[in-house]
Amino acid sequence: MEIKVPQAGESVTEAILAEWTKQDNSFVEKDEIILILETDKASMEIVAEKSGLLTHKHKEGDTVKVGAVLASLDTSAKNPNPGAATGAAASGAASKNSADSKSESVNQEKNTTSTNSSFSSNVKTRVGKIESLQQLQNEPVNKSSVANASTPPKQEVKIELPKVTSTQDLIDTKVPMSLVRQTIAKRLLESQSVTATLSTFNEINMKNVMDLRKEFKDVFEKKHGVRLGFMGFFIKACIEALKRYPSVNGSIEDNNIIHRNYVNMGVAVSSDKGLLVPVIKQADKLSIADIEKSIVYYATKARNSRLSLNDLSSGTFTISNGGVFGSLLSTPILNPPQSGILGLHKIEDRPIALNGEVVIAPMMYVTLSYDHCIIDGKESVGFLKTIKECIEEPSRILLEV
Amino acid sequence: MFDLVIIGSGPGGYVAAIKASQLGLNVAIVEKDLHLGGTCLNVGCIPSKALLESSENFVQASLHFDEHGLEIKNLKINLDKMMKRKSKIVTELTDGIKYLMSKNKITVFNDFAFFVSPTEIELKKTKEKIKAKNILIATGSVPISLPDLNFDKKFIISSSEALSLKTIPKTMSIVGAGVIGLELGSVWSRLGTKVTVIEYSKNIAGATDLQVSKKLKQILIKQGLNIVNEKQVTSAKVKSNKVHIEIQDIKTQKTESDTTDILLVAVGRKAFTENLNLQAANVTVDKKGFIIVSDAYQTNSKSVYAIGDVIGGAMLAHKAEEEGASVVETIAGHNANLVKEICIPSVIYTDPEVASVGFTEEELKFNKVNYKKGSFPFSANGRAKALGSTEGFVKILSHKKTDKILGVHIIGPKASELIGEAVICMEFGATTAELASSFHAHPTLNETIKEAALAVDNKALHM
Repeated sequence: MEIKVPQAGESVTEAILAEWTKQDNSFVEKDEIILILETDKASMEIVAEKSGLLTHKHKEGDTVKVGAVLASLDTSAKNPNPGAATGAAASGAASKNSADSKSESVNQEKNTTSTNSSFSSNVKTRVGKIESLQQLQNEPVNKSSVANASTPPKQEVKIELPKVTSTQDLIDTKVPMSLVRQTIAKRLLESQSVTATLSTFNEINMKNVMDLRKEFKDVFEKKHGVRLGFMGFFIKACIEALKRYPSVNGSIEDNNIIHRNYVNMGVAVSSDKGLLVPVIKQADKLSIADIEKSIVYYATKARNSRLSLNDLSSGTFTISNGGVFGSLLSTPILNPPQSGILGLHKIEDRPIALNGEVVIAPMMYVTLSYDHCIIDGKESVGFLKTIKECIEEPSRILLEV
Repeated sequence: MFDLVIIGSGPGGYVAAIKASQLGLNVAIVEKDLHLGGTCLNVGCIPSKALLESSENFVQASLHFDEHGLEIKNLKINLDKMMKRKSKIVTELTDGIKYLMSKNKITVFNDFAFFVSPTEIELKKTKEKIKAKNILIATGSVPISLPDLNFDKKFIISSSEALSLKTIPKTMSIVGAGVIGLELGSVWSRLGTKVTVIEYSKNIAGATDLQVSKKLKQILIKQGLNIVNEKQVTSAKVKSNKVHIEIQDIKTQKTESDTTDILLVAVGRKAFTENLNLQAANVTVDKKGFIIVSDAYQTNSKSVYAIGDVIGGAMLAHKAEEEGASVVETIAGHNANLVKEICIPSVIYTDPEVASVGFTEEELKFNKVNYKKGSFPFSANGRAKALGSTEGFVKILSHKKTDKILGVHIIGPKASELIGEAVICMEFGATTAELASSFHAHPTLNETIKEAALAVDNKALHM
């Protein structure tokens, strides 16, 4: 194989072969540095991609164009001296020689200066290089004079792969998929293939709706026998939004779009068998109390595995609340032929800008995943904005504004 | 009877004399040459820098003024005038030393001194014998001549003659790619001579940090110097005003012939102790002829000291100066300044200049020191761009654990001036973090040093 001058940045067209770190006709191991190129901007080390016998095609100091062949590597050649990288040994020896001669001269000076014991005084005003080096090597670190270690030098970081020593056999256990799981998997994959799902996000200040709930939850429970949750408000808000943006409540069938004058609201609930989505039929006709009652009814049924196929079918829109598990943000997957799904998330106190001031408010991110085939971006954003407005000012639900 | 007699008035000798006078010693200095100042002032640092400046100006005017929108017609070299300027600078400085001697009431003998005893010298011309409590040998060094390349001082020359050529030679071969060979090679190459530098070892510029030495070689070759490594000149014969030389390839042993107008032999310098009669002072020398001294620059005889080139080590004027000042403090009974070898900067006045202090990367590797390094190119420095001199870089090496600066190596514009800050850092044991957190005026070339210090911890700002 040929070793060529690599492209080293847009404006660099040529480089200088600064140094062969591997001798001509030497055997190089994979990943060993063969040569050093220098450009106007930087110097770079060229590494052997494979092991083989190296043949130089240029000499040190040559100016070489990008793409020029610097050397060839006979990858069929065998290392004549396995176990010892011959090239490295040779070049190592070479550089050592040059350094040797230097240290010799240093040592010699030392001999002439301090080993002669015939001098009459012990005064010392001359400090040799090696002596200084020994002092420098033994000096303690002065924390205040060393740069803070926020960016340690690159080249020194060497991370070993942690070794796991396990005496047990490693076991992969295979268990059959439950039918519910199979259906879930099938439906999710199908959803991905038949829709062009896209998600849009918004955030809601939950303060007003929380205050409202706090104020009325006791009297509500007393009167209706169910607790007043947030789901009732969200379903009501959804119904209002679906009225304004009917395509979110629609679906595609062949080349037709189906519009509906009713809302069958799917509410995702978790059960031992996985996520189930019972459908509150004609939710648009129900009061908040009835909606809350329906949710409790289906949730109980789900926990007891009593949900019928009918309870789970004919949904036109779905709300999924990942917030109960602590989710901050997610992109729910559509349940075809439905075209929209609203994702609710956890409520957390966050600093927000309100009337030009930073205040802490209970905030929730909401997501609308939608089928872009039927719903345009403008509608989806408007839909989510309607929900935001209805929740932030619950009276809008009552007034349908 | 003098308190101190100094033999040699180079930078080591004359600085020691002034210092001794300041410390209240009765001091005399002996100089064999007509002018004070030694090699440095007369046939070394100063005249070579004068010619380097003149020749560099010629290069700027002929090649680079155009870039600035400056057009020159009929640019010519007047070598005679150039040499006169050089001589004038030398004379001004040597006269300056003469003035300093008289100002400090130092007795000057223009004569050749040799030892009679450890406390007495004799002057050759006047036969005068001078007694002294202490004698300081600061006789410096002379160029080494090779056995087969004897100087005839006309065609086969040393650095001294290369500073005073009467005409610009067409071709010049230089033996040795050390500081002298590269600087004088640059001078004559810039003035139009076709210069070939022949170096025995694999790299140029001696013990310079390898990365710097390689960069320098690239740049000099680009400037037109022909540099050949791992070759030696085995013989030189002068026939009809040409030097015929034999050049041998060290690896293949093959020999080729060449002719050149001038052969400059610049293979180093040796201690100058000839006719000093050291035996009479009981002063010993090592195998290479350098005077053996203690860690306080004292020779075998307790009344005789030696400093500078004559004791070996880095043969640099500023090393001799520091040693001279230090040894006089010792002689005068003061706490002497420590002369730290690692803090001795060295400079090569090529273009761009090369300047270093401390350990090279190769020395650190060889001594198995854990080090960090950071470098910064002049191409990313605003001042360098404005100067039109963006080649080169600053490289800083520091101790991995303590971050103390171990070496600074610069190749770039005005490197000789930039290295000063690095020397101070090393003298006071600064870390790269301390250097990096110090102000550097903007826009200056010095900013590259700050950036290189930052780069040691990968925090360079302008890269």
